[in-house]
Amino acid sequence: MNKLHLFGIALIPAFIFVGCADEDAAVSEPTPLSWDIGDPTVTDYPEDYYAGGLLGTTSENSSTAFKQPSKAVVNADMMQAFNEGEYLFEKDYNTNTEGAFHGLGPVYVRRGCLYCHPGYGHGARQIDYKADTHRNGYLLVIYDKTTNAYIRSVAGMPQTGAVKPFKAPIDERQIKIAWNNYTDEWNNQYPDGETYELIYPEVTIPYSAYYAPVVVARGGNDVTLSEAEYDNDIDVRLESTIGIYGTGLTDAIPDDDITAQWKSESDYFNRIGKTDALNPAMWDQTTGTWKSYYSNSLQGDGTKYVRRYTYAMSRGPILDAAGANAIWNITNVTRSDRRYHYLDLAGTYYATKSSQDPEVQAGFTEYINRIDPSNAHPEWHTGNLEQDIYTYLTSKQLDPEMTDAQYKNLMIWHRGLAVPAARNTTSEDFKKGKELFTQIGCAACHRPSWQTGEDHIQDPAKFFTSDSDMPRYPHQKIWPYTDFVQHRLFMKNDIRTGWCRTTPLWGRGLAGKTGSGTERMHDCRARTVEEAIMWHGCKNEGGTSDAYNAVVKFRDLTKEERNQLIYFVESI
Amino acid sequence: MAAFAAVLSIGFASCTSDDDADTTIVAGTQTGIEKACSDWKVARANWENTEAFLFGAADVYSIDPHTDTWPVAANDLADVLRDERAMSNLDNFIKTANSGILGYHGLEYVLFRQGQPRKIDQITNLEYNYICAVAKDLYYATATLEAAWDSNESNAERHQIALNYVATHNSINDDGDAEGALGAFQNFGKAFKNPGTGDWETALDATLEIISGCQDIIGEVGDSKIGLPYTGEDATYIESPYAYNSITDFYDNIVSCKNALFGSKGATTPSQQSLIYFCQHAGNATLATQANTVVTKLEAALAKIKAMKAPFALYYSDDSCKAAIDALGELDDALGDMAETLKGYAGNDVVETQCQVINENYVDQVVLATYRALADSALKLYESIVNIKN
Repeated sequence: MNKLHLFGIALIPAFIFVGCADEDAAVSEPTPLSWDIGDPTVTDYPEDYYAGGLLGTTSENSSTAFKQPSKAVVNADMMQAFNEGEYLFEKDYNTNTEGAFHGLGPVYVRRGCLYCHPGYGHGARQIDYKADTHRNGYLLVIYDKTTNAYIRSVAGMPQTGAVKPFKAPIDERQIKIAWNNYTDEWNNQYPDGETYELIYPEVTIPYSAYYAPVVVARGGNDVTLSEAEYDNDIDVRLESTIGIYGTGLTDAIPDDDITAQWKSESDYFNRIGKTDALNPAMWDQTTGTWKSYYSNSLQGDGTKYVRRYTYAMSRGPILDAAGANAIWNITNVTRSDRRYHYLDLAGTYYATKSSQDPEVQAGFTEYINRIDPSNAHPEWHTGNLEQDIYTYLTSKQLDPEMTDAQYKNLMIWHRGLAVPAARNTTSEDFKKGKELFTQIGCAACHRPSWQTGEDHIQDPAKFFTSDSDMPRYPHQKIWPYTDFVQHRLFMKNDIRTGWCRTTPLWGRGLAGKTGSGTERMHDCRARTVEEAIMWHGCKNEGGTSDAYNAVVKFRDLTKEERNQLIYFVESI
Repeated sequence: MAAFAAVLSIGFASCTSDDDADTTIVAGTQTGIEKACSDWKVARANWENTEAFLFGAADVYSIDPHTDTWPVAANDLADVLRDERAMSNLDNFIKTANSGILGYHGLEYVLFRQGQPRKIDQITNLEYNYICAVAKDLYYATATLEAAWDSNESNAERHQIALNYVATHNSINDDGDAEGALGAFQNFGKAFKNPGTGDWETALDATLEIISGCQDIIGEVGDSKIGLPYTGEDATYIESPYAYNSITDFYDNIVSCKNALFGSKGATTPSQQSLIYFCQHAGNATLATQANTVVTKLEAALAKIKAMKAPFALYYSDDSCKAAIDALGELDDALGDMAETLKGYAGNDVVETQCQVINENYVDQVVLATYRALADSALKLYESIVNIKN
């Protein structure tokens, strides 16, 4: 790779002392070192080096690789906004009633963003659940096994933090995370004798940890569960955050192209007779059409958009997706279009329990006088504590705590984060790993590249309306390594519903260096790329993984080939 | 500005008005608190001197947020002082507590008001007990940084502190015991010196991290710490407001970059094992020019920060702030240019060999030396805080 002519004599960076009458001076003043390194090598990078295309790739691959603005931000003259957005992302919110970053609570999942997105990337594996533990990127997923639906008496992203006098919906000290060993059908061993280990989490939350009664929806009605029913019917899973970088670029992929990918896979699975291969809640495999779109009728006008974000594909365009939601619902910091609290799914159970809690009542007057010292909301100060607490918690007229300008800057930052360039793209191991990645079938779901479209701004919440509001990425070839389709791996203690969107792989090899969690899979069960691959090969946990055949082929590779494939995955 | 002033005036009023809180005043002297404030400023300067290398242990062990979160969560702090359970088990409580009530700014909030040491007759015993525990935790955190970059593990006591810190600060039970183990203690100094053994695959890779670390803090100081209040994006974004220490913090941040680039703590000129020296003498005219530009822009940035009208908490919109922002932007650009050129030498044996020298010197003479001074000053701060009480 090095094409430079090197001068042998300059290769040894040794001290050379000049003869001098003044020996002391000679010793203390060594002749300056010099080298001759010639000119730098100009590398002609392949197109997959530019993971985020020419507008969205950063050549930075240091510890700050995930934090970099894209060229689109610079081109749009949005660096100041980007910087403020970054600041909003990096700082904790607090319970102060004025000043910077105030507005946390009354209940919260985390105090700020970095807890779950260390280094702007993936959360790290945990052995217990504490909201104040940095790098804990887990959300608790508490659901009714009989319906696969979230329980209704806590939030979809349940809170374990509360501002006094309020109490946490779940007492996190009672949450247990056990990590169990798993043995796969091959006894965790390759044909060549190499072995590996697999672990998975078993999460338990006892009935006593819930502040309000546990309620689920059955047959259109809310049903309160007894402890025995709870123990029998409710399961808990963990879902970890993934990186934020590059989400602006994937937002620029046309809806029609994602639809075409689903249609293509749908047709393929139909051809091979696998007619239940795609999530029936999302896609009708018989007609080859969507069954569910993303829309927002609360803030927006109900326009339908193709789903593309989160494991559960619960979100469409990025401007009304996970980040736009999280800056409000994780902290409960209100803004002009979210002037209400994120509480339990039903919206009543937490407020009712709190309003009747004598300890909450005892502290509420001091609390509400701090929140609303000028009595701007007299309905919270009537003196009827039960009523005041309920009215406050369920209010739709809370004062905005984040300004519109701050929210806009946060979203400019969000959409403006670049993707690190792929590493080692000119090495032979990379090239071989890339070949194997396609050859054994990984690329079927981890689709390497996409083309962005015109990238006109789409915001289902209608907060952003103009192309000039955001950095944009028209006509870029990008390399996220995902098909934006949900598949099933049938793992032990699998993700809720079993359906999981293929996770983008770009940049993940830099997780360690950036301080992000290096673990992979939705609950961080895979401590290495190898473990992640082997978790794709289950067939004894209720079904056969969609990636089973690829894992069979991976097992049959030589150790060197397996390492080359892993090297490729770590490099992209 | 009105909102900002209101925050300053909150103090511990909510604590003193609470019937349950112990509001007895600590038996100490004004001299004692003044000594603690003086030592806080030294320890603070040493922390700011580390900000060009927040990667590695400070990041992975979450020591940066644990010790330097801002703004202070004043209401939470008042609540902790009223929380008998927390106050009776403070050392353990602090290990996993909300970062917004810990570290430098937690101590600053108790020790200072309007740039001056608080009056001793305003400090309660609860506050005293609290800052003793926070200062001890701060010392342990800084000792952990030192140990994590000490490639020779030369200080057994601090190495043991680091092992305990890493084991307990992510996960402890109510008795303060570590719950399992998540990732063992890593020696980042060794990894940085030995390419291919840790996060840095080549010596050049690690050397580029030196530049990236500098750019990260230069950007934060120029664009965020000074820039956001100056541009009017939000005037409440002013760190160290109680001690009026902001401009000193900014200056010390850029001194951190100077140390990193010049190859030693307190450097005035580039050492022969430094990155700048190598680039100046590597035999490539472009690189030499870029290195010289970095030196010029570095000195200019320091001068412009020093020339900012003080205190920043009051004069954040002064023209002198704009001059500093511009100078920092130029320094950032100059470093970016130098890094881009260096990246073109990937695989060059001479560059790789000298980067190894630069990195070894950087670990020992910059990072370890700074963290050692930091831990020493944090220990001194802890002792002086304990000694506030007669």
